[in-house]
Amino acid sequence: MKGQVLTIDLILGLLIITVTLLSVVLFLPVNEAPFVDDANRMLVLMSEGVPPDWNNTTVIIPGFLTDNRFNATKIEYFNNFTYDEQRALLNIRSDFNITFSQNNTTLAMCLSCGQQPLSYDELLPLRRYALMGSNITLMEVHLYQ
Amino acid sequence: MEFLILSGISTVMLVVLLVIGTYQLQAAQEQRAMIAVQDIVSSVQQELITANAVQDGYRRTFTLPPTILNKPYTLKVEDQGAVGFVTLNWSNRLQSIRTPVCAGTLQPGDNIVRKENGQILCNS
Repeated sequence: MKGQVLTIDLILGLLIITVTLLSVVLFLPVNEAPFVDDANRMLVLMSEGVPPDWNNTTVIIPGFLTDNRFNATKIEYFNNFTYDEQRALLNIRSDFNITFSQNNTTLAMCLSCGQQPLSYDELLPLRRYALMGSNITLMEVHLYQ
Repeated sequence: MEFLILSGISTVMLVVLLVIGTYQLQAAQEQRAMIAVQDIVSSVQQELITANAVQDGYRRTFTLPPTILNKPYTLKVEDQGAVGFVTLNWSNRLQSIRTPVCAGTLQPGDNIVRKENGQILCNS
């Protein structure tokens, strides 16, 4: 009888330890540093870029602004790159999607900037405002992995 | 007999935990390496952008890490007309970035960037 109790105790103990260790190993928080790095890199879009008058041939770093306003031509240039080229230009590893809107209406521009997330584990939204022409325009970037 | 059964169960659990732990560690190492790769190409890009923005006579030495996670890497500089490309090759993984055109080569360790006659010279 004593031996049986001990066996049950041991099995229970082992189970508790195993479940605890497995939980720690399997559900350790994913390192979010790369995700945050990518978010910081995306902020270059709120600059003029390099060179400031870049186009599809001369771009080194893409930026959507000219004189602190969104420049539709630069956005169109960026839109012309393939998704992989856009990620390489931004030097990011996460997936992303960019949309522009004015007064809660999505603009029909930059429709190929990034790609819509079909599924993701983590999603990080970034919202930045600037004028486009004389209208306040919202750029929404969604980073996801 | 009971002792043997329990020892067996414990050993199996230990092996499973070790395998999962090793897998997690490898994934973390991989992530660290890719961050390092991104940071290195980004710092090279910034050095060349700075050199491009300033006047002739500019000269600067910058240092890149000698290895990434104790494994060597190489840098290739290419000129594709209006822009240049710097490609980092680490363990057969390539990471390219656009830069201003730079004549010469780049390497792990110390690099000298100069600007003469409007041209950026890398270690040359």
